[in-house]
Amino acid sequence: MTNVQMAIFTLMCAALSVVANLIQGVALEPSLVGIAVLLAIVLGGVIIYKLIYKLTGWKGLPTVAYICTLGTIVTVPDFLPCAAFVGSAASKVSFLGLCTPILAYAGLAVGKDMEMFKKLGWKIVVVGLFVFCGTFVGSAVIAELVLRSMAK
Amino acid sequence: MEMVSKALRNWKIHALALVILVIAEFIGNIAFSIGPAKVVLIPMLYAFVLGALCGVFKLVNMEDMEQTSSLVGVTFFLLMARYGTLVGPSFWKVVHSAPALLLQEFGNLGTILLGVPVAVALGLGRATVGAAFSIARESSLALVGERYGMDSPEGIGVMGVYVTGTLFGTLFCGFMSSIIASTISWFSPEALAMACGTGSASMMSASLAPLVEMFPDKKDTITAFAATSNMISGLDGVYMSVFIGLPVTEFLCRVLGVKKESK
Repeated sequence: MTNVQMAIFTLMCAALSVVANLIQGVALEPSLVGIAVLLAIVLGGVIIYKLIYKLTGWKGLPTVAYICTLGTIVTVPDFLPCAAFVGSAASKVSFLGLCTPILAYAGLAVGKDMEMFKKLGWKIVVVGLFVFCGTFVGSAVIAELVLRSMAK
Repeated sequence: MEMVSKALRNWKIHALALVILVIAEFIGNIAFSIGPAKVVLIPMLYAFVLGALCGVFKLVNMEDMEQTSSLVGVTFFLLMARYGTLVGPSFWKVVHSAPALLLQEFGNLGTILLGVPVAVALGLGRATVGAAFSIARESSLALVGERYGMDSPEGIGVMGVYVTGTLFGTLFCGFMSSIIASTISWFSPEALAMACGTGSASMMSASLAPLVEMFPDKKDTITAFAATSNMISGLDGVYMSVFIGLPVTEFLCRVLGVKKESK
């Protein structure tokens, strides 16, 4: 995907998320300011990814890792001067509202995997569900045990 | 790039995405109880179902679906920025709980402990290896593809769980976390929040939403924990799978008598 294509589509997703935000009852101005802040973070993350690749040839971490990390850095309290503003602006954008476009597109695309899925049958679905349970319960148990031992 | 270019110009899929989004958001959150368990349904779930129905009712054809697929990676960018801004403000609290966060990453191996016996019992053979070593997102596909080839039984296993995850993952994670949170009170909301982070942003959001509904006073902390755990799982996932996940799964399969196919 070229940079221009990435930019265009990101802006389209931003527009969709603003619509979702408005339906959820958030006013237009905070929604726009919030999404602008998030777009800036995305831009920063993508630039960092491309720079690291250009300077070192390393494509190790996916772009979203840089975007997320940058988003964290600019909102840690008292770390950078923009922290309070960015944190407050971004908080007006509902994170579930950002998920809805993702799943809308994913749902539209999923049909192409249906054929393969029918071939695999119900057994793999059962295994899959157990697999998701396994990771959730496994992590929850360890987390709970560690938190309790830390509290003592 | 050709595909992406066509995809961007394909106004139909974008119009559909908008309509789906509007409908889903207007439906809003629906919370109800099934016995002791409280279930919360959220717009992103309806969006997925509505999108899939478009495929079923042939509103989108195969070409449309392939084009949409080429765009999906970028749809996550804004969400990831937002997650960063969720973690940042609670940063110091997260650092304090770092041991729990880091250690619960090993809980992702629960996929093996639960998945392998079930798969072997159902007679899946070598597909078990691909199916149960992790939760099967894109990086897992890449790993299996490289090590065993996508046409192998292992490849079929990982594709199967991947598609299951894509089709049902979000729905199931939402139900699962609601039910576990409301029926097993041994788990603190903080521990459950950490468990939500598996490396898949949509599954994490789906399992987080019910927790936020159930524990609104702890909303910021649990969201930060879930997002951080997800970030960490995303980063260590590949290494976990290569050094621990796959070897342990292979070992367990051998112990349970699964024979390697002779080529």
